[in-house]
Amino acid sequence: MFSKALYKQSWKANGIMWSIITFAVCFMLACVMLISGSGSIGNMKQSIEDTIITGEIDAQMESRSINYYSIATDGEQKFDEYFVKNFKSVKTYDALVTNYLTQKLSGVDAEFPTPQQDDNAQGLYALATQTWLQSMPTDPSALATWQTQRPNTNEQLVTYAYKASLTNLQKYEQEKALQINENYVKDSDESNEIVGASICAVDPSANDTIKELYTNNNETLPSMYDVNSLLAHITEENDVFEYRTSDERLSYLRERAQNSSAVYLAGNMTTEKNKTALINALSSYGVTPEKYETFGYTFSSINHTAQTTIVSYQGRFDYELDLINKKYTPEQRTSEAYLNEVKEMNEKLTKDLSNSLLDSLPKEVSDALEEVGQMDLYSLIVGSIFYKMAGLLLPIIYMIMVANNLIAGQVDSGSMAYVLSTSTKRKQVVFTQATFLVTSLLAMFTCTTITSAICLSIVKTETITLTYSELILLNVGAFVTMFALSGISFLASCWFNRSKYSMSIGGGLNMFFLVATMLGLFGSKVLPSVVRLNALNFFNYTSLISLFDVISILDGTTAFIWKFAILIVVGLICYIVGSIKFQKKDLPL
Amino acid sequence: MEDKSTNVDPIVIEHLTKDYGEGRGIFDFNFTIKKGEMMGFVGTNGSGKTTTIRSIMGFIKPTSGHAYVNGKEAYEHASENTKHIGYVPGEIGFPDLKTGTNFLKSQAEFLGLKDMSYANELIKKLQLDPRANLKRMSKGMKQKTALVSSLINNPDILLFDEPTTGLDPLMRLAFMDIIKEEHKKGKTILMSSHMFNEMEDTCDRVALINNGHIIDIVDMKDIRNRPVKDFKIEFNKKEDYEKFKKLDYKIIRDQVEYNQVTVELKKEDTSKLFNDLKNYDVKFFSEVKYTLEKYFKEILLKKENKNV
Repeated sequence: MFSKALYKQSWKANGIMWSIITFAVCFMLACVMLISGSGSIGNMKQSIEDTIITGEIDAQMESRSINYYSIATDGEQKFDEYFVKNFKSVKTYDALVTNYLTQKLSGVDAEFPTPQQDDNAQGLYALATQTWLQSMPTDPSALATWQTQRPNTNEQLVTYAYKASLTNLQKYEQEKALQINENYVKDSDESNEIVGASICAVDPSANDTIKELYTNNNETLPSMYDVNSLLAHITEENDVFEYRTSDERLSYLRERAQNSSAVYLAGNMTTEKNKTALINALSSYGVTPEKYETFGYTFSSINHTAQTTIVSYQGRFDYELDLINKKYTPEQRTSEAYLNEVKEMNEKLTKDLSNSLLDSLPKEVSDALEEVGQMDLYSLIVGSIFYKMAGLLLPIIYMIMVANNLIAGQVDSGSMAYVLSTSTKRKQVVFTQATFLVTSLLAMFTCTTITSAICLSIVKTETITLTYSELILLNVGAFVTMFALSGISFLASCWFNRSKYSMSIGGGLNMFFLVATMLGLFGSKVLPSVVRLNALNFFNYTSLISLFDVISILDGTTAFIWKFAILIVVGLICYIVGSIKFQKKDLPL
Repeated sequence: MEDKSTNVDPIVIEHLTKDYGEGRGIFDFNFTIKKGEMMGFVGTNGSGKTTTIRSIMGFIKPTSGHAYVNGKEAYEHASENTKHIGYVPGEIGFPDLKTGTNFLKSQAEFLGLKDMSYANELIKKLQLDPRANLKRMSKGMKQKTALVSSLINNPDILLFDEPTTGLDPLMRLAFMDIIKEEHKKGKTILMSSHMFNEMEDTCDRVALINNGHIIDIVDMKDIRNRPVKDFKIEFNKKEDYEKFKKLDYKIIRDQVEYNQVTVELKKEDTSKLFNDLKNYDVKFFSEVKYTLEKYFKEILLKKENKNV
């Protein structure tokens, strides 16, 4: 079956070409692996990743600031409502207590009016009054002084209402949190956050944690919440409802909410606890505390971002609301449809303004950026670009020439006559030449395997995810691909008696496969979708090399195995058909 | 295939046909070459000489009929047969090796040959420098190298396909000497050529091939020992010429303007002609040598006439 003399002769005839091509391939491989592994690729990838990460953080911030702002404005309005109610109820209660006192002092046995259930303002008033009552002096001379100390001055009434309203507000926000998510129970982080956002707008001093947000960041605390304007409207014409919804009041509330939300957000995001949590969440994207510092999220920068976001949100909200208002008559503005439309608009607006970087770009681009972030550039260059394309070019050229030299070239030149006239069987000839072709390719890819392993050991760092086993599989894959392609060239070489036909069919087909793979790469999934030309993906279906599934190898899936099997079968069939043809045909020698 | 391996003719061709279509190929070849015999093939280019030799080498499969080498079917047993055959192909293309020495060594290796003494002897005889680069060899050097490689294992049968084409006359003579020597050693030789004179000197029999058909196979003994001879006579005077024509000789060519005739007569009648010519004023007298070429031309002419 095997002719040692012929094998030796083939090495002598093709050995120099083999050496040159093998050296060139290994050299190219070493250049690709060492240069692309030396860092610049990692930097590019990281900067893209950073852009995406900061974009995401910004988006989160913007979304939050709007969220806080709407909680704050809602809370303020609710507080106004509570305050008016509480103040009125305190006033009523005050009348009852005055009545009781008058009766009591005149000796009539009267009962202390019980405050209404759940009415905190009345409760506070009652508590204060009862404490005062208990301190009633036995000495009648002191009685007059004591009477003046009765805690029912206007200021005190306001304080009762104010404090009660704060409690109400807190309760209201806690209930709101529960409505959003039943897990947001009282004193959970989420519940506290919502409560905090509104308390911060009304009275930061009421809560020590919130107060610290101001003091720690050298922010001046806002002036006291303006309840006097409300009081002014309660006493006079009792047009307090109109006043509460008036533009004057709204703009006061908004400005207050805007400032407080920004401080609340900036303060929260710069506390050590939250910062650590955020960095932990981002650590999988390679964000270290040092790196986070370089993103530049300081109190003032976050504050500024939040303020501008809120301003633009409010501006657009007003504009959009105006548009909606035009469609409805003032009477209709309480209808379900109107309210729904306003709600929808508000949701859309919030989403628009808080778009993350990836959301705001066209979908293809954002996908691409995400891909770039996930993409393993080094494996792409070594696997898909070198082993599947550039690195195959020279071996294919070698293989085309040698496959032709081994059979068709010798028949064409007539030198095959000398081999066959030495009682070497055709079977031996074809088997030996096929063995030579396959073993020379095997030797070539053994060299590339060694070269690539050495190069990887030199450049291997944490950022390079390519493993040795993947690298070996890439080399095996390239060899298996070359086995199938060489089968085609060998078949052509066995089939034709003329070099030119063998070369143009065998070589042409293989070069077509390679060129189709190159074109197909621009349409294949290994490229980010921005630079991908989907139309060119068609070429991947026309190339045998596509069965060399680099993606599967690098992803660690097993799809590449059956594709290898197909390549091996194609190669075997070609070699077998070729050798049968060579044994059967007439030789012009 | 019956076993004819002992005491059989080295080359037997039976109804050998290889039809390439459009009338090209060889058709119904029949001949046998006996042991020690040297046979020549003559014919124009493309007449089928090479096809016949390739069939004997077993490189091509006949459309019908058989070629046997030592009693073994040529195509089926090609690898066994070629052990006994030395072949010099018409087109010399060497393997992709550096020098002639490399090539000859490689050939010896193929044949499992350790002893290169015969090859060295041949090299000396042919004054070949085998160290030369194969690619840069002249046609003659290539031919010599091919000849050495075909004789390297001293085979019994030699097939030469136009071995002397493209060689200068001196080289051709040296070549033919070697072939003759091999013939003397008792080797069976088949040689093709389109040079008749080469054949005349060396071959025992010559086959004429034309357009894929064997027109005739002639034994060279018959040509050399022909019973009749041709003489060309030119006379000085017209009267003599006229007078001679009246004599009872078979005139095969008559050229009036030169007063020239060519006569054909039996060998034993030669002296009679000389006697007759004593009385004439003869300007010029010569024997027209009967050549293979002439013989074949006659045959071809006859054949054409028949066809017309």
